[in-house]
Formats: sequence, C-alpha cells, structure tokens
Amino acid sequence: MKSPNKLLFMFLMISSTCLVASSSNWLTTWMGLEINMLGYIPLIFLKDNAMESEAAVKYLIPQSVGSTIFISSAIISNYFNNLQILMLIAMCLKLGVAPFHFWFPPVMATLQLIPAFILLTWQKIAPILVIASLNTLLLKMIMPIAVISALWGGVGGINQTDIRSLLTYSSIGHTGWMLASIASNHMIMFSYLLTYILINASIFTFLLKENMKSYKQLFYSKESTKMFILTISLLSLGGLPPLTGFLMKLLVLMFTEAKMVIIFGLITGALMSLFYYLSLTFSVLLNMSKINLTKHMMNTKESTLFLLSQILPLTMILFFF
Amino acid sequence: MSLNKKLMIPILCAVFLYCVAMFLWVFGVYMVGSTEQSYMVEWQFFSLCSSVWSLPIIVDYISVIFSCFVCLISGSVSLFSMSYMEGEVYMKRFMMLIMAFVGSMNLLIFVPSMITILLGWDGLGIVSFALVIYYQNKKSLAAGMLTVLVNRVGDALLILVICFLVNWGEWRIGYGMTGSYSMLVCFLVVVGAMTKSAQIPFSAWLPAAMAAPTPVSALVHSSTLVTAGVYLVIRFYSTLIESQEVLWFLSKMGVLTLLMAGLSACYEVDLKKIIALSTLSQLGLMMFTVGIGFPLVAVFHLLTHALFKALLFLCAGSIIHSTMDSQDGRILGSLNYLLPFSSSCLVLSSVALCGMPFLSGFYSKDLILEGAFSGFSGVLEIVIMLMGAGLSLIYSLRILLVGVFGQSYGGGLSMYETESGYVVCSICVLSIGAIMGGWLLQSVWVEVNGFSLVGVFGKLVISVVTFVGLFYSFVNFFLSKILSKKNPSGVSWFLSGMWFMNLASGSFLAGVGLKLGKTMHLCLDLGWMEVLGGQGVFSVLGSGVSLSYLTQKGSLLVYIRMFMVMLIFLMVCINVFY
Repeated sequence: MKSPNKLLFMFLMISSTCLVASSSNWLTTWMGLEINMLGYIPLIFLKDNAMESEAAVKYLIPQSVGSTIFISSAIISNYFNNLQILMLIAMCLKLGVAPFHFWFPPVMATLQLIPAFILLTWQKIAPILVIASLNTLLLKMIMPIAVISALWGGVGGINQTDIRSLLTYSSIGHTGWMLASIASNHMIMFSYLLTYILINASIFTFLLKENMKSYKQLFYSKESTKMFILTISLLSLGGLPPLTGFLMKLLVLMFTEAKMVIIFGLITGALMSLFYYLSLTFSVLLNMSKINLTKHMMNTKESTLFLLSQILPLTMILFFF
Repeated sequence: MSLNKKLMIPILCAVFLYCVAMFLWVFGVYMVGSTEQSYMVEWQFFSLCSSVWSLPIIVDYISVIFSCFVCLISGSVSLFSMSYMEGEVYMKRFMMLIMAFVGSMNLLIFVPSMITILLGWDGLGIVSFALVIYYQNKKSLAAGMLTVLVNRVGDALLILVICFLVNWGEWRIGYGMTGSYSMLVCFLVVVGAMTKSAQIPFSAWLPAAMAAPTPVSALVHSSTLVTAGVYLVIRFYSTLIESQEVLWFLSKMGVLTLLMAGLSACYEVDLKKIIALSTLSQLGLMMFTVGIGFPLVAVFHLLTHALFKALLFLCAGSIIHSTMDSQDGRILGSLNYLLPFSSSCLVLSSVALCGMPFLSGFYSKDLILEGAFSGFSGVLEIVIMLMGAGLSLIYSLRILLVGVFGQSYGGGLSMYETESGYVVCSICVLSIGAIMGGWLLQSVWVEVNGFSLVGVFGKLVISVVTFVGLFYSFVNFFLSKILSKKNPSGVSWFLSGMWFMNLASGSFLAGVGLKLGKTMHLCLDLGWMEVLGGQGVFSVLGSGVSLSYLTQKGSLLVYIRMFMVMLIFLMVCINVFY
C-alpha cells in the first residue's frame, strides 16, 4: 500500500464516495459511482497474481452493468415513472443484496484481506446513500428485498469454511437489515452502517495480524487473548444480546414501521447467521478457561480498537432517546 | 461411640421439638389468649402491577395451637423412632426428612399467603414421597408414586388458584375476599385441599402411603400431611362462604368419604390400614364440618384427632415392632397379655376416637354432631353422617377385638419383646394429650366451646349413635367369628376396595396416562416436533445451503444472465402488483 499510485486510487475512491454523498442530481451520482469503482479496482492488486485479476474482472462487470442500468433508468424515468424501480435494483446489484448478490462471494473469496475489508465496508456507503436519496414511495418496496437478503445471508453462510466468504454472507444479511431501516429512519441506517464498519474493522485487525483466512486457523492460534477479542467481535457482529451489534438491531426493530412478517423474516435471518458465528467461535470459547484476560489486554493497539469499536456505537444510541 | 452418636440424633430432635411445643404453648397461647388478638407480620418484597408480593406470618389461636400440637406429636414420634428405627443405618437422613416435614408443615401453618403457602405445601408433598419410599422396594415406590402424583394434582390446582388470584391483586388468605371468578377459585382451592386430605375421588393414596415406616405414618396421618388440606380450607373459609355451592359440594364429599372409609375399615385386615382408613373417615368428618359451616369446630376436632390418632399409630407401631413386624390382624391377638402397656394405650386411643365422654375425642365429636343437627344440612346427609360416626365405634372395636383381645395365631412367644423406655415415654406424653387435650383446649380457647341449640331428641340420637356400634360389635363378636372365612361377595369386594377407587386411581389412570404419554411421545416428540423443529429446520437449511452452492457454481456470465432474468421478473411483478 505504500506506492504512490495506490494512494492516488485510495484518494479517488474516498473522494468519489463524498461526491456521491453530496451530489444533487443523478448524473453526478452516476459519475461518483463510476469513479469509485475505477478507484477501487487497482486497490485489489496487492500481489499481482491471476486470482486478483479474476476478482477484478468479476467485480468490474456487475458494477458496470449496475451503473449502466442506473444511468439509463435515471434518464428514462423522466418519461416513464415506473422505471424508477430500476435505479433501486441497480443499486442493489452494486451493493450485493441477496437476489442480486451472485458476484459478491466469488469476488470476496479471491481477494486479499485489505481489499476485502474495503469492499465489505467502504464500498457499501455510496450505493446505500443513493438508495436513501430515492423516492420514499419506492423505499416501501425495498422490504421484500431486505427480507430476502437477511434470510439468504443466514442460509448461505452456514456451510462456509472460509472466513471471508462467511463475512460476505454476513454482510449480505446486514445489508438486508440496513435496507429495512432505510424506510423508517435514515439516522438509524447510518448508525447501523457505522457500527457495522467499526465491528468489521476490529475483526479485520485481528485477521490481518494472524493472516487468517480459513476457519481451521482459529484452532491453531497461539494468542488466545486476541482470539477471545476476535470471538467477541464476531458475536457482536452476529448480534448476541449484550453486545453492540444487538443494540443496533434493536434500534432497527424499535423504530421500524414494517409489518410483522417482515420483522419475523429479518429476525430469522439474524438467528441463522448467529448460528454460523457461534459455530465459528465455539473452539475459542471452549478454551476460555486458559485465557488470562487481564495480562495482555489493556495496552495493545488492537484492544484499543476493539474497545472503541464496541463502545463508540453505543454513544450513537443517544440520538434516539 | 459412633453408634451412640447416631442414636443421639432422634433424642436431640425430640428434645428440640418438645421445647418448641412448650414455648408455643406457654408464650404463644399466653400472648394470643391474654390479649385476645391475632398478630400478622408482613414482609413486603415489592408491589408489581398492583399485586403485592409479600411474606405474611400470622400468629393467632389456630396457628399457635396447631403448630404446638405438630411439634408435640413430632417430638413424640422422634422419640419413638429411637426404638422403632434402631436398626436403621441412615438415621441422620431419616431424622432430617422428619424435620423437613415438620418444617414445611409449620411454614404452611404460619404463612397465610397463597404463593408462600405453596412452599410448605410442595415441601410436604416431596418429603412425604421421600418418606413413603423410605423402605426401598417396589411396593413402596408404587405407593409413593401414587402419593406424590395425587399431591401434584393438588399443587397444580393451587397454582391455578394463584393465577386466578392475580385478578384480585391479593394472595393473602385468611380473611374474606371476593372478586371475579370467585366460585372457580373457591372450587379449585377446595378440590386442591381434597387431594391433600384424600377426600373421595383422591382417597386411594392414603392407605397406600402406609408403606412408610410407622413413625412416619403417625406423623403423616395425625397432624401434618393430611390435615394440610383441612387447614387450607379452614383458612380459606372466610372466602368460601361467599360461594355456598362449593361448601355444599365439600360437605357432601366429606360425608361420603366418612361413610366409605368407615365401611372399608370394617373389611380391612391390615392393622395399619385400618387406622389409616379411620383417619380418612375422621378427615371426611372434618371436611363435612367445614362444609356445614363450623370451621372452628373442625379445627378443634383436627387438634384432638391429631393427639389420639398419633397415639393410636404409636401403639400400633409398638405392637408391630414388638411382634417381629407382624401387622396382619389375622395373626395378631392376645396382646393384652403380651404388651399390657401398648394395648392399654391402644384401648385408650380407640375409645377416645369413638367419643367416650370426657376423653378428648368426645368434646369435638359431640360438637360436630350437635352442629350437624342445628345446621342447615339435609336429612339424608345427617343420616349418612350418623352412620359414619357409628361405624367409627365398630372399626375401633374391631381393632381391639382382633388385635388385643382375640386369639393369637402368631409364632412362638419367645420371639416377642417388650416396649423400650423411649416408646413408653413417647406414648405417655401422647396419652396425656389424648385424655386431657379436649378439656384443655376448651378451657384456654373460648371459641371452640361451641353453642348449638339441640333438642332432646337430637341429643338422644347422638348418644344412641355413639353406643349402637358397641352393641352391634359385641353381638357380632359373640355370635360369630368376625374374621370367619366367607366367600367374598360382590358387595364386600366393593366395600373393601374403597368403592373401587384403588383400581380407578391406580393402574387404570396410570395405564391411560402412560398410553397417552407414549402416543404423545411418538406423535409429537418424535413426530411433528421433529418435522417442524430440529430435523425439519435442518433439512430446510440444508436444501437452502445446497441451493446457494448451486447458484454460486456458475461463471460470471451465468450471474449476469441470472441478474437479467430476475430484473425482468421483478419489473413484471412490480408493474402488475403496484
């Protein structure tokens, strides 16, 4: 990541997201999205191997299809109002929400950890902002997509052994929850997104430290304290009650105006995803007795990040009460 | 040393219980009696949704005297088990169980709240199970299961009562309350009490519980377990009078139990079972008394009955222990020569049970009969009640004629032994109670003196009923052998089998229950619950996972095609539906 061109592309990616966020018409939005995609693709290449090129192509094509559909439907919807829905679907494709998510797991499975992290977190911001700025009537139609996404995120992740694939499906599920919260209150969606990014940050810090990609590596890890923190972060991502991830889900459920069926689907999806987080973390949790928490915990960078990612989102709850 | 240590435990318990009884008698009765007031201490935990969660403790005549009698009797029983359980290895465990039993009974007595009373109530049920199966064999286990399951029915009904009482915002009992579902609540309480007191549909467990060691039977059947139901009804009486139908039901059931138990006792040969059935008939009498509206008289009878019934059981236990564990009336006999002390006390207690004037049973029984005449009960009911009361003399005399005065069919006399000092001591204490109890209670407790207007005819009938049994028994005894071998007819089979309640509540119910349970297990646990629960979810998730693998298998072009198909599908859908 040290080379100057990486820095340039990083700058492009970040600034284009800001462009999307602050744009006032669909054309600038589309521009921002395209620049964002073009800024991200060079960041994929860390080792310059064939896998990464494949990932880049697999990423490029769906994204450009999505952008094309987006701009064309934005233009046509001046004349045919019904076609506005296509914009929503195009953004869903870019986000990787469930019925349109097929490109997402294969791309993630071939990425290195840092690009994977960026794809999971930063690349979600621009499309979801576009969705949030769509017509409110249109946002009511998003609920079925949200439910399908939450459920599919739960089902797809169950048999995964690769941590990145697993996090991909978890991201699909979480995106479903975010979409469900868009219709009621944008603030909740933003705080959910922020929490999701923070928790993922703490997870990826540990994964990077151990260069951990597969499920099995959890068993052989030496540093049990770090594993414990990773476990807590994963469970927080899954939404286990006393942790931060649960509070965000609770906020979504408290402020939602959705029907009971939708809420039921969302919760079922969250439960299924909790199942695979738990099965991922059992090996660590069962070794809990060997862990001496007080010894290593307080003075490392990772634990600071962990604590911040767990505690910072809690302050955001103050907005809602 | 260790043997002595082991033997110390019952003495310690006995001394402790006697001391508590003395304390309660001296201070409790003095406090309540001198001030003529009842005291209620209430510890409130919290108040939730206008229902108060509290632990009330009531100190009044009923609770103080009842608890005093319980402690006195259980002290005697502990002392008695010194000799009766002398070969016992786990003496400590046995005494712990007895003390737990007494403790739960006291909890029940002093806490007049429906929730906290359940602690004592459940405690009695569980400990009684442990005590009934104390001799670890199959028969005891069957009896214990019957006992504990019938008690469980009562527990369930009480829990239902607690649920319904939420409507009233109040779980304290002991003063008049009424509210929505008043009659249902009263009915549930009464039926729950009937399970504990073994009234008619639930009678079978009481004779079965005789599988317990005799000291335990003495405790269970005199003052603790079976009287818990009567006690609950008495405490709840001020609410019960609001729904007369329930009281009507209670008096009918009580009088039927009285008759049924009396008749069965006349056919039974097991010494302990005869006494158990006599307890049952007396319980029926108490329930009847509450039902016709004399709760205090019922308490009085409960207390005097506790004294002489405990004595009866201890004498029987002493006889059983001294004659090499024989309790069959067909074997026992001529005990007046062998065990003069025990058999004389047996005579004393039986006579007190029959209502011999100026023994303790007389005072309470006379009051009940007078009450029945002056109350609002029907003629048929009175007649049945008089028959039942008359039967008490017959079965009491039957015990005496068979056991004490009849001819012995047992083994050699060399195997017999005499009572030990502990037994003599414990029996003496209870004998004093059986002689003096009624008089003593009437002299300290004004309310139980009773005042009923009965005509000359009524009084005559009462005396005739009390003594007609004596006449009948003697005629029967001298004209023919009581236990002569007759072919059992259908009627005697019906009467001796507790009106078939043995069969109905034993194997029949168990068979139906087990069959239902098996069906439920097959249909629900192994069937639908699996299909809709674990296995079903697993297979659905499995197919979902394989679907997701299938969709992820294709190349990029496949994904794009799938996206396009989905896009068109969604467009069509949305344009059709919106």
